[in-house]
Amino acid sequence: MRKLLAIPALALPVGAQSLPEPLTGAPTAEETDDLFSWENLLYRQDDRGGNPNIDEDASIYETIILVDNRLTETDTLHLRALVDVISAASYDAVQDSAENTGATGINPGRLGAEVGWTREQGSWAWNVHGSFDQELYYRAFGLGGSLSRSLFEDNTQVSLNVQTYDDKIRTVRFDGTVEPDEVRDTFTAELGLDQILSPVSRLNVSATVTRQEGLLATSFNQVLLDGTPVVEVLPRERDRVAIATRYKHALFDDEAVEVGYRYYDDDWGIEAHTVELRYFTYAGERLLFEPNYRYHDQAGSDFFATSFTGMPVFLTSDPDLGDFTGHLFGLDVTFLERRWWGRVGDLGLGVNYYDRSDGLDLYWLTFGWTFRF
Amino acid sequence: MGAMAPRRRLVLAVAALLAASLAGCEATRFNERERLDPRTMSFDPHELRSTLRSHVLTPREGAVGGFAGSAGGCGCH
Repeated sequence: MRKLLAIPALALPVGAQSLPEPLTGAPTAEETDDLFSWENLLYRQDDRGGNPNIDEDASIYETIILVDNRLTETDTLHLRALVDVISAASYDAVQDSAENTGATGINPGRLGAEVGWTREQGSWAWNVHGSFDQELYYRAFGLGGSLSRSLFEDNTQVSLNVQTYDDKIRTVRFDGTVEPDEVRDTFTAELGLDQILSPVSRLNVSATVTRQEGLLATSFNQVLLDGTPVVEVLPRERDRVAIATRYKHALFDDEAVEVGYRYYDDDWGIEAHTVELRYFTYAGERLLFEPNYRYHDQAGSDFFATSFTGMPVFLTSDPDLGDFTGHLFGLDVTFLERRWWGRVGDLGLGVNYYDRSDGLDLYWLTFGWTFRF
Repeated sequence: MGAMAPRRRLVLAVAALLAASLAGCEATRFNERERLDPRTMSFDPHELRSTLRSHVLTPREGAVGGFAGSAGGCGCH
């Protein structure tokens, strides 16, 4: 049996996510070459909805660079760097208050780095990875790993991914006051199965369990209680479960369709159904179009309201925890095997628009460049 | 804060999906996979693009997991 070529692509971050899996018996570039990938995001969100009590205007530029270096026939080193430049009204408001109290300084955006290592031996593959992220008021250490096995002539891949984050939060409140640092611990386990069903179809199924402990509220969020702004208060524990499945079918030699569904449930009262549709079609041999649509229907948390009265124990007005439905329309275009900066690789462009029923809408653009060497 | 009943349903749903995906499947041999183009027929062929997408969606929705990112490790702007 041919050795396992890649870990099934699941939702966990880092090198735990796979490259496109080679699907025929012959060795491919994914097995033998190093990889350089660079992806950029420009994100824009206007304050036209969501929480009426706060300004949710935000702009984000994010860039990620990934390098996969094949050390040996069985070992691959993954290096990833991430930089965000963030301009958000909520940050500005907190900083304005905090500067008056001397609590904070310059918004550094977000800086992140990650190192991973994958070994493939026979039908088995395993990966370990560690990460560090620094944001305004936030610092995160991550550690994770995955184990996968290929079965039945690579028709089936089963995998287990685990991820833990040890996060520290600088507790700066909306009025600029500072309280002692808090922690937020996150443990995630994901079981996945990737099954080739026929020469033209395949299925992916995953189940994800997440446990979070510590300060799970956003420290600088505010809530109106009897007309007076107070800090957001949420439980210090949260259990979250998701089950997802995706099905792909090749319609013709140059077209395919993907259908995905996810069910989500947690003990804060949020229940969500998400459906994703994606269509792949080549225009010639070197141009790939991927129009896609996503529908998200969310029943909000038991602790959510736009304002409160009386003496509630938990209270949040974060619209991301509220009731809403969302429609996402996107188009990805990949220019295949194009020469750019002296390398032959794939250039990707993407545009996405997300419209939520609570009035919040946002869009983002992506630009990426990937080549092997 | 009890979510045990939905979880039991989830476990059953996972088991049913796994069984359905495996039941009646005949192995597809390597020489029968030419239409399983990695660019269109693998899941998440654009790793970083998917990562950025999850960085946008995860903070904007109350749900995580499945095909849409994971929790933790991010102050999420």
